[in-house]
Amino acid sequence: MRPLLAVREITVRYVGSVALDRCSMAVGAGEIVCLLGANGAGKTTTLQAVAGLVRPDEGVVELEGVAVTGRRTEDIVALGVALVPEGRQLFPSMTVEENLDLGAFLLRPRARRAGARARVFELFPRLGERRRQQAGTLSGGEQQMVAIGRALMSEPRFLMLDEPSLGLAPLVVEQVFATIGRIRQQGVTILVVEQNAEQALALADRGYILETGRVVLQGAAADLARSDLVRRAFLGV
Amino acid sequence: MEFFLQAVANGLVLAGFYAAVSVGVTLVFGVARILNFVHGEFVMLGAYVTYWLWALGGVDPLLALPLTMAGLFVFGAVLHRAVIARVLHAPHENQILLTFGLHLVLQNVALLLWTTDSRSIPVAWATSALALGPVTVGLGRLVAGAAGASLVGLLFVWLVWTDHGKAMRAVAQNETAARLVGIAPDRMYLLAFAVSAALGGAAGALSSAIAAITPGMGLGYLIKAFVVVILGGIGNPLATIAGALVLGLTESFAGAYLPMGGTWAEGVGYLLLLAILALRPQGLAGREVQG
Amino acid sequence: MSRAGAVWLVAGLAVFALLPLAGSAYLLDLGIRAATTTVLAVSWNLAASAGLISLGHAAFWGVGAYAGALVAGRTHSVTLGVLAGVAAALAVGLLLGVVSVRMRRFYFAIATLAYAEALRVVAITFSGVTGGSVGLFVPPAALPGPRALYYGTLALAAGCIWLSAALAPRRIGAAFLALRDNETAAVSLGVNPFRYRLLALALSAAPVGGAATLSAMYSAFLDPDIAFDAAVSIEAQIAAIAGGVYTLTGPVLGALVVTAFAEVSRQSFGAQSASLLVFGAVLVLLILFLPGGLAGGAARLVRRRRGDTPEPGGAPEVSRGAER
Repeated sequence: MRPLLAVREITVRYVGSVALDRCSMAVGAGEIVCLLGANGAGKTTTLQAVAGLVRPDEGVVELEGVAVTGRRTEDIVALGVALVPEGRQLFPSMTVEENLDLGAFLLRPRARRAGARARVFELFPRLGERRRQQAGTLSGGEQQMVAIGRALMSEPRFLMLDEPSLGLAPLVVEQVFATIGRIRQQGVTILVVEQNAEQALALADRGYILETGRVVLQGAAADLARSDLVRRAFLGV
Repeated sequence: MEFFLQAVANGLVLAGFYAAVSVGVTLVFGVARILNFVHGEFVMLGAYVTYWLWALGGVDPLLALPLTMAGLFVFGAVLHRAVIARVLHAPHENQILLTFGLHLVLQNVALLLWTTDSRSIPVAWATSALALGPVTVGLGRLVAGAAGASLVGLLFVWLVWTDHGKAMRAVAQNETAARLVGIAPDRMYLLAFAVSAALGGAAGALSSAIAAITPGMGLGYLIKAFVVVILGGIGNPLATIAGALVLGLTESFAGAYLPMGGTWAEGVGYLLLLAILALRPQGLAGREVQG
Repeated sequence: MSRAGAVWLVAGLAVFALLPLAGSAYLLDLGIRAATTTVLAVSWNLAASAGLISLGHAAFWGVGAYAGALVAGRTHSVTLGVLAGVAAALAVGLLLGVVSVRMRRFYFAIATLAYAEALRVVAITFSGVTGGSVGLFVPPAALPGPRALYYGTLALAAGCIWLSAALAPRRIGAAFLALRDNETAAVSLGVNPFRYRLLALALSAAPVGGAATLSAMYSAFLDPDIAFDAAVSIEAQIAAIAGGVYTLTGPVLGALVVTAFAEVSRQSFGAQSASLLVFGAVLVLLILFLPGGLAGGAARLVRRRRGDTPEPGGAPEVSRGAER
């Protein structure tokens, strides 16, 4: 079965350092896969490489068998990919509703936008209450909701999330992860990068552990949760 | 009191015109982060296109406005594709020198084609004056000011309510996020540049009611545009209105109240610019800007 | 400056010093223009090497020309005239510098444009002093012969080049470089941006004033459009960039090339606007395709913004992740 996303031996070099070193991974349709690792391990770079924000020096990124390596972000997004980036990256001076609507920039026909928005408000009722508020004035958790909601507006088939729990209160984090589970139930394939290994592994089907740019461990989420490496490094055991 | 009100009226009319002259500069800077030293030539070319449409085709300047804007839109797009796009990621020094070089080229092409003779369009309706209560305003100037303000208003409507307008604001606010929702920044840069050319050209067309048309008029309008845009806060179209009001009213009052008023009115813009650059470069409403 | 460079320079100056002996008025005229453009190019380059891109060098030219011509006219002394020109340009450079060198690059460029234009308008307005738009004739008694003018301008050019060469290896030169490349780092190393930039602008302005005085005496006539002609700034920029901005020999090379080029185009096209057009086009093409110039020293101009590793040709590549 051809995976939805296939990353083969990608290497990304920055001046004086190697961010990713011959990394390979795959995500099957309908799966939730998590990417774990310490700061600087290369998790964000991986997502950026897939989304076209960074061009790999070597290797191939394939979406449903089609090579998309080095293509521009806006073109990759048009193929049904969405990224909720690190730091949320909202449009601060625009309202919640405007931010969401921009998420549907590529959605055709325009009439579908209202439906997409309704689904986002159903997932995040708080956003519905604050729809006319400027995004820059929201709390961290609410901003994260906007970021996820915006990504969903394009009705993607593949969603990537970069540290969605960062800076959020534990209660909100649980909410976010529950939401990600619901999104998967709607048929979206998900790749999530996380420092919060416990929640991520509880949610995901499979996982990859990155260390200084290399994949050091991979497998079913349950197996990873039991492994010594993961327990020592991330679960504080 | 009437004298005062007259000065205010003149200032407001000027402000509307200046807003149209300048808003393109702030649009391009906000979206593409480049300061366009060719902008004055858009105004100049708009004026000449309007002139030739009138001289050769007998078209009234106001009716010619859409044509002029369309022509300048295409010109701006072509110029962007051919030249400007290549320096968008170059150091600022390159950008400054390149657009300045273009300014030279266009100015001298105009000079060669049309000589230093100044031209004007003596349309019948432009010379009559309208009495509005205690003040009298030349109809030509009034139209220039009102049309200018309307065009700027239309720009705002476009920016706030249409998809492409929002996409442009998105690129201005956060380019990475814009790409993540599928907006191609390159296309937005092109659009911003073309729209700014169209607006500058429209201002040029309107300028025919205010001043004579010469090939060298671009530089003066460029500096005025900078004054307005920087006064208000660069990158912020709404602030352009504030800047236009300050410049328009200051010029009007200087001209009315100072001895040797006419010359001072011209010079006041420069003084304002140097003052604001030295004291508060982010303008009245703006945020700090790199570069 | 390297040994080889110094040798070339002295040799070049010797050759140029011997030029008048050829007895040709045409060559002398060309020589004066080449020397003048050299002063302009080297001076402009000095400011640019500290990160100051001036679009308004004509301001210093105009002020120097008027001050020098007026003083020479009153005192009938060429030397006093030139000194006045240098002093006036220096003063204006300091005055305008105090206001503008703190500004960021774009704003500084705009400010220079504005004050060159403003000074032109001032020259037109205060016609009591400057003769206004009608202009000013420099009294014949004050006029030196072409040879004296040539040597004067050559001396100025030599002085400028020496200044640039002397500053480059010293603390001042290093400070300029640091300010241009990375201001934050420079500040943390104890470089006071304001003082050094002001110095750069003043040193860049003074020689231009002297050259302007000599030029005014050469043509014996001055009016605001001539004095504050934008062409002055353009020539300086093109010469410096064509030759290789930020280098020592670049502006000199560039000045020679530009003078030759201007002469050829003047003979082919005649009209001044045609020449300016060509100059503008050349500037555009240079920035697009050869920002390093002939001497190729401008690693910074060729390198992309955002601290990317240096890359020849300057062709943009897919953005490396960083948001603008």
